[in-house]
Amino acid sequence: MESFGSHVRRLRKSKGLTLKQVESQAKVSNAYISQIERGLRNPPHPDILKRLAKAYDVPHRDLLVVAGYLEEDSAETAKRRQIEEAYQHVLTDPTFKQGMRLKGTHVSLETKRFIVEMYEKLTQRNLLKGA
Amino acid sequence: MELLTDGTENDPLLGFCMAVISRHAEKWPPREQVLADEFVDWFGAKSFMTPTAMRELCLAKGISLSSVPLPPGLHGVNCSFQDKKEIVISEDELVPFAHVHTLFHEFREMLECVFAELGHATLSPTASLEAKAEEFAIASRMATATRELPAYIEMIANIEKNWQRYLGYAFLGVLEFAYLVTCAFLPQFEDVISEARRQRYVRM
Repeated sequence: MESFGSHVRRLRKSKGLTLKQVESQAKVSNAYISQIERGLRNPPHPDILKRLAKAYDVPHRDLLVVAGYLEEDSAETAKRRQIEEAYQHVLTDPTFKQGMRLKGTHVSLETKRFIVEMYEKLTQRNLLKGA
Repeated sequence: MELLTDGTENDPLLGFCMAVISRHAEKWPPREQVLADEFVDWFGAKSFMTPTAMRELCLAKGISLSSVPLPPGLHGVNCSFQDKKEIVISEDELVPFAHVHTLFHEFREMLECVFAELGHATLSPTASLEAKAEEFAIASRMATATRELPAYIEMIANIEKNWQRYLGYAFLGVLEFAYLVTCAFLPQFEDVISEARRQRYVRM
């Protein structure tokens, strides 16, 4: 599983934010964030995670799960995995072409789900099976 | 009598791509500006298009267009499967005319798929289609504005009173300039506005 540090680093990069920008938005020192990203510090307190989640524009719960404060709901995990697998299937189907105009480069789970639903609609195939 | 067809009568996008290839094969790939000019003529795009007008134009080209709420950060999607082609654009755009920009962006991505299938990809393997599609969308919107300009100038030239005519020219000049600026910097405007929104949300 991806470490907390590399997860938040990837989030920051995908949003095109600098450490300084995160510092000013989340009121967390950039040196501290840098140490977290490099794995030199343990995941921060949930209160700090709440501020980081807002700065990175992701649900607070997601960061709590990656930081190990919360167990990911097994049903939620299964749903997430199903969407990821379906999305990979869509990307590798040579008969289906898709493209999108997206802010940044990070494709959220919600966006992946939307693409899979488009695939299902056009191909009349069912990949998500109630996910 | 057997009719010989190349399939373009059922697929206007394919017909358009084949026509562009035949016209520009000697100097392939064409610049985005050239492609945008060809596209605007073919599509019949206007500077100011209502969602209904956009839907009708797309339908005439064999593409279904819909406008729905999309996940955050997603402006539009295009999909093709067999003879079905669909474009979905966000109904919650922050910047005026962003829906037209997104529509042209999605078209460019679809065009590239067809060009590639016809053995005339316009991109090198390392080039970004995303960046090209943005460039194409900007060029297409600018092309629509410059095409409509002579008609507006002629309309103003028919105004009898001098002061009203000069005022008309001045107004048109300002409007055209503002429109071209919004075309060229739309992606940047979107970034600035969404960043301002996010900052406000973070402070809440």
